[in-house]
Amino acid sequence: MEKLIKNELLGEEYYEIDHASGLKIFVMEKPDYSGTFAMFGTKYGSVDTCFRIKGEESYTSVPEGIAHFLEHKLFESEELDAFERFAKTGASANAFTSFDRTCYLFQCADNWQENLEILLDFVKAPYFTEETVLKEQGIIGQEIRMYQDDPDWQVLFNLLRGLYHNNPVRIDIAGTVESIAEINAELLYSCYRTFYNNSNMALAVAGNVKKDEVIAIADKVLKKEEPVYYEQIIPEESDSAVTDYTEEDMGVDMPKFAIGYKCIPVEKDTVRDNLITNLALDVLLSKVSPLYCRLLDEGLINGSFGKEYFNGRGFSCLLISGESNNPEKVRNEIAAEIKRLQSEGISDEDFEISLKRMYGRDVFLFNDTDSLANNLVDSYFNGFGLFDTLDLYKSVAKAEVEAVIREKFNEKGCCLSVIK
Amino acid sequence: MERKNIAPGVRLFTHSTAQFKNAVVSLNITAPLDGDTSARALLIHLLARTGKDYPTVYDMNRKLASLYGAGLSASVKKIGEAQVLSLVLTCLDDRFALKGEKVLNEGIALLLDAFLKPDITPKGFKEENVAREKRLLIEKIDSERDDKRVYALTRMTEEMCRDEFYGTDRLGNREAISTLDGKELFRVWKDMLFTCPIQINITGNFDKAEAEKLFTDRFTALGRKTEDIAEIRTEFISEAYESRTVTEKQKVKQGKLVIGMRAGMTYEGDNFPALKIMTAIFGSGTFSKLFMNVREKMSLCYYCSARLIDSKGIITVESGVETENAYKALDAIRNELDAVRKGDFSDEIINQAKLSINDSYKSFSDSVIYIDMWATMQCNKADFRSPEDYAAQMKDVSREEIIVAANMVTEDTVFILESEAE
Repeated sequence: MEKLIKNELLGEEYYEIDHASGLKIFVMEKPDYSGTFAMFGTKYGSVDTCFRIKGEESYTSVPEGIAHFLEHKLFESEELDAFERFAKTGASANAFTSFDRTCYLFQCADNWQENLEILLDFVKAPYFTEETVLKEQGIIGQEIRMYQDDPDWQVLFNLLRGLYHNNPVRIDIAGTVESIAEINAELLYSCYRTFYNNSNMALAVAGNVKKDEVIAIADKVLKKEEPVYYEQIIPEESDSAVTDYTEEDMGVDMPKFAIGYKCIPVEKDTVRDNLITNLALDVLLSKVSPLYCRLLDEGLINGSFGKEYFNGRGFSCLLISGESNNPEKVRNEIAAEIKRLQSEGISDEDFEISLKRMYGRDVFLFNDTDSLANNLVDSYFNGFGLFDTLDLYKSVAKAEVEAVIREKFNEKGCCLSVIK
Repeated sequence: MERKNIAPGVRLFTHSTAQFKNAVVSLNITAPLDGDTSARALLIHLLARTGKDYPTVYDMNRKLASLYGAGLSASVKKIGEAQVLSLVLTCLDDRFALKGEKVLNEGIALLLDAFLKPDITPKGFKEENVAREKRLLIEKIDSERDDKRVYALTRMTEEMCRDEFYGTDRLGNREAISTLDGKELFRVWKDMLFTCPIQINITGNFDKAEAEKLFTDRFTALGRKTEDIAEIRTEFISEAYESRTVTEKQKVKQGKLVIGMRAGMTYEGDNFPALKIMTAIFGSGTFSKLFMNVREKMSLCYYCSARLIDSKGIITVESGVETENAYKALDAIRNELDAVRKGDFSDEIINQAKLSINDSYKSFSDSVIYIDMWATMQCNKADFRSPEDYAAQMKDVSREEIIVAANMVTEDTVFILESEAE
């Protein structure tokens, strides 16, 4: 079954295909582009640490960092590894693991058909041995070390550990040197069988491609798979933070901070929730906000200041980060501004300007094939379509954004993380 | 893609296309790396943040937001021994404005005013703006150095090029920044207006004749004289006299190893295609010898890669390794380069390097940001060439030429950041 989904304003369209193999496929034909970007992803990331296939007796708990480890290992095969195969076509290939997804991708100017075949084939052909697992522990061990020296990474994970008591979002995506030492081939296969079923995955291809050719390649490479249903244990989480302050000395010249407000994850109408929450953050903290300009003038923040609605499967928080010699004062000023907006509301002018700014920025996202493919997979995993956010701009109301400011900035669930 | 002269020392690059949802317009100013490097780096940020018509950060940001979230940002690059200072406008294409506004024209006016109509008094730039930018620039320098990978590469470059202008940080240094004032910045701004080569890039959906007229008029009106325009040259040192190792200790979990090499180039473009392919075989990309052997086989590191900086004629190799393995990794990297010198590589890897380079050149045309970046990287070159022109150069490079290129490479400086026992 396939649908053609159009957006008149942008003059863009894409196909959504329910492939016979059980895989969801998205194709965006961009004939005026010379290259192609493809992303093949699974709804599986670092937070998926305890699960069972429906019908199994007991849950399996896996070592921290195994989703990321699996991502590295999938590139290997009994014969040529995936990097060697892509090298023969000239494509650049890569992969990443986040909290709740793992994605494999390539970008190329030529030979997209051949590259797509390699992408589908290597992701669907796991090959793990004890020997290759051992080798990878050295490489990933160095990747972990690298992140341990990265103050931007550390300030975020210290914050997540300061916010969450039990939710696995608090663990490092790559795990620890100790946890990855517990990984073996059998555990990798068990994760693979559970989460790399076609019904849990999506493919998006954007660029100088033809939909029918994409389907023909999928027909050739992908076998029909019966869906695998799995169950997970997501630990109970209170709405208060573990601590309101956490600090680490890394000897940096410019101290870094991250402030988090823990929210209750939203499960319904996620597209609307995303837009109104991002609008709330924009009105409060973006470059057009009075608060931003005041903090900048007072010497409290610099160009690195930013905000994000950070949410995924089972977790949700508002994240504000930057660099400052006085992070406590930044937190207090933000808290005071939230209080003011909670009682006074947002002016029409401030609402309109944020709306216009965010609409423009959202249109920018339709420029590059990589962001198109990425957003096709992302929005599907989040339960909406690529154009849905743009369509909402007409109907979103100021009162909804004011409600976000009243409800989501929960003081009990606030933590400040500082790297000195 | 084309480029032409529109006024003394002013070039205009245009790429008119309806492919993208927004346009990117940039003003790129080239200057030598000299005593004014810090002042120029500060000035370009100041110009992007406020202006005569938008005297506060709030005013400027509100104006940009009203143009559908247009962006006006400053950036500073080092291209060879030139400091390239850019003001970059990203702006929605008029087709997508909800009420038919002419967004791009307004955006371009804002960009030109940022450079030509700053907020100055008879005494120069306003001290409150200067003070803010001093703080922000110093914090940016500090923050960049907190990234250990950047720190190690910067330190290697400082050591390797300690007697060349290339050893200068593109943002200048804390001491020089802290002494700047509004009057001094006014002098530097005037100097930029009349003596620095300027390249304007415009990529997106626009009327070419109209844009050309607009920019020509504004820059002709300045009254720049050809004889005043600075000529900026880069010193090429083709060979290292000896290899020097510098080590430093810090409280880090992972050590860093950076190697600087002279590529055998005596001028810009010298032996470029062979060197580009040689560097790719040696250490760029997942097919390269460094990736396949030092990472995959020896399992020594997560990253280990080489890069050719052709604007200066050097090759850098970067890796993150355990301190106890640093010399083992150094030996392994040297062995891989020796293997290339001896011709110990397959025809297949030559082909892979060529395919990969070809693919990356061809990919430029799909991104409005990359096209602007490409044009900027070319701003000091006498003749403009497109990514396709570069790709075409690579086809005929032979195995012998690659071996000759590898044998011209000499190791100059090794920098090791060691982790201090805690």
